[in-house]
Amino acid sequence: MGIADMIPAEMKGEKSRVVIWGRQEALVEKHRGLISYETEQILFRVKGGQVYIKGTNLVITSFGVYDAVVQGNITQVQLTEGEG
Amino acid sequence: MKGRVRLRLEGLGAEKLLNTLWEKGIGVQNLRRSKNRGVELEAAEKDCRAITCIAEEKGFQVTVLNAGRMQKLRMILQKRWGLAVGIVLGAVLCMISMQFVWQVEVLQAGKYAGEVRLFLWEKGIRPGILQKNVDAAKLQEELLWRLPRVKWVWVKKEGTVLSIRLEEGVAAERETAAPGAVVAGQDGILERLTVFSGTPVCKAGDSVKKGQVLILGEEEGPDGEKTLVPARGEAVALVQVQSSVRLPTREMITVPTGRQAERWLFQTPFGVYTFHEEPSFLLSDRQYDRYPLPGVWLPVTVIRETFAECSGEWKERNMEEVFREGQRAAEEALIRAWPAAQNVDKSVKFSMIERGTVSVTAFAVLPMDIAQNGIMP
Repeated sequence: MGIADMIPAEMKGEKSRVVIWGRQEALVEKHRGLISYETEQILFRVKGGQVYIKGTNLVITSFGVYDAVVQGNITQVQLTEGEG
Repeated sequence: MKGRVRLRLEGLGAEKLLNTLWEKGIGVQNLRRSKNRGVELEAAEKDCRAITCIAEEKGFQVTVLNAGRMQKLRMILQKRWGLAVGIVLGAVLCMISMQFVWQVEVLQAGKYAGEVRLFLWEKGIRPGILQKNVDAAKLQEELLWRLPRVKWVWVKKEGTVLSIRLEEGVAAERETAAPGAVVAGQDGILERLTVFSGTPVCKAGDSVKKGQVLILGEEEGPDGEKTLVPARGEAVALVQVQSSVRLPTREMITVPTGRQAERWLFQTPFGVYTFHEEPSFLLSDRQYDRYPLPGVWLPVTVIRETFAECSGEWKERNMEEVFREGQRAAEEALIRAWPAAQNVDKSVKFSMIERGTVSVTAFAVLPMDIAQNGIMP
C-alpha cells in the first residue's frame, strides 16, 4: 500500500461531500458556487452535478470558498448528475 | 459580531453576485433572502469594502444594517474622502479655536461691572485672546487689589468662556450710586463704541452731536429687570478739528527821506533813562548800538538810538503768496493744538473777513474718544 492509498479519498480529489445533521443543518463541501437560492430551495453547483436542498426558512449560515452550511427545516436533499 | 458587518444587497441575480464573491475568495455568513430579490449577509469588516464595490458594479444597492456608528462613519468616509478631509479640517479648526477665549462675561458685578470691564480692557483681555495669555489667578488677585470693597472675585476659564464673578462685601448702594449716561463730548462720526457698563444706544457709523447720549445708564438683567448703573465706555469718533489765523493783505513799504537824528539812552537794571527827546518824525526806521560801560561793575549799557526818517506807502501783497503763507501758518497752528493732525490729510479754507485781512482755517479729521462719563441723561 503506497502513501497515496493511505490518504482519505475525500482529501485527495475534488469530489464533493454532503453531510446532513438531522433536518436542521446540511454541509456541502467543495461546492463550486450557487445556482439558485430561495428560502424554500437552494441549488449548489458541485463537480459533476448539482446538490439540491429543499425545505423552509433555509439560511446559508456559511458560504465559504470550500464549503457551505445550510440551516432551516430541510425536507429533501437531492444529488443530480450533470454539468458541474 | 465584533469585526463583522451585516449588509443588505438589493438587486437582480444575487446568485451571480455570491458566485463572484466566492470566486474572489470572499466568504460570507448567515445568508438570507430579503425583499426585492435581495439578500442579507454577514461578512468580515475587512471584506466589506470589496463586497460593496463588487455589488455596486453589478448594480446592487448596498445597505449597511448593523454596523456600529464608527463602522458606518468609516465606510461613509471611505466613499466620500472630501467629507473626510472636511471633517478633519473642521476638527483641526475646532481644536485651534478652543485655544482662544471667545466670550468674556462679568457676573454679579453690580455697580462694579464697569470698573471690571475697564480693568479687563486695560489688560487687553477681550474675546479672541489666546487662553495661555490669560492667567486667571493673577487676574483674580489684581481685581481684588483694585476693588477693595469687594469681598471676593472668582476668575474662571471654562472652555472658551472667561467668567468673572464678584461677591460684594458691602451691599451695593444702588440708590445712592450715581447712575448716568455717557454722552458725546463733541460732534463726530462714531468709529467704535466700547461699553464697559450700561446699554449702548448708538453704533459705529452713527453721526452724533455734542451732548447726544451714547450709552444709557441702565442694564437689563437676565430676568428682564432694569437696573440703573453709572454708564462707562469708550467712544472713538472721527472728529473735525480746526485752527484759524488772520493775515494782512497789505504791507507798508518805507523809503528814507535822508533826515536823521540820534539820542543816547542808559539802560540799567532799574530802567532806561535818557536826556534827549525823541525826534518828531512821523515814520522812521530805528537802529540801536549798545556799548557796555567799561570799569563799571553794575550792568549798565549805553545805547545809541539812530532815527532815519522815512516816507511810507501801503502796498497790496501778492495774494498767492499771502494764501501760501496763511495755509502754512494755519496748518502749524492746527498741529500745535492737535499734534495727531501732523500725520493726517488737512484741508484749508480762505475767507476775506474785511478789507486788508484774510482768514485762513485749516481742518483735519481725527479719531478721538468723545465719551463723557457719568452725565445724567
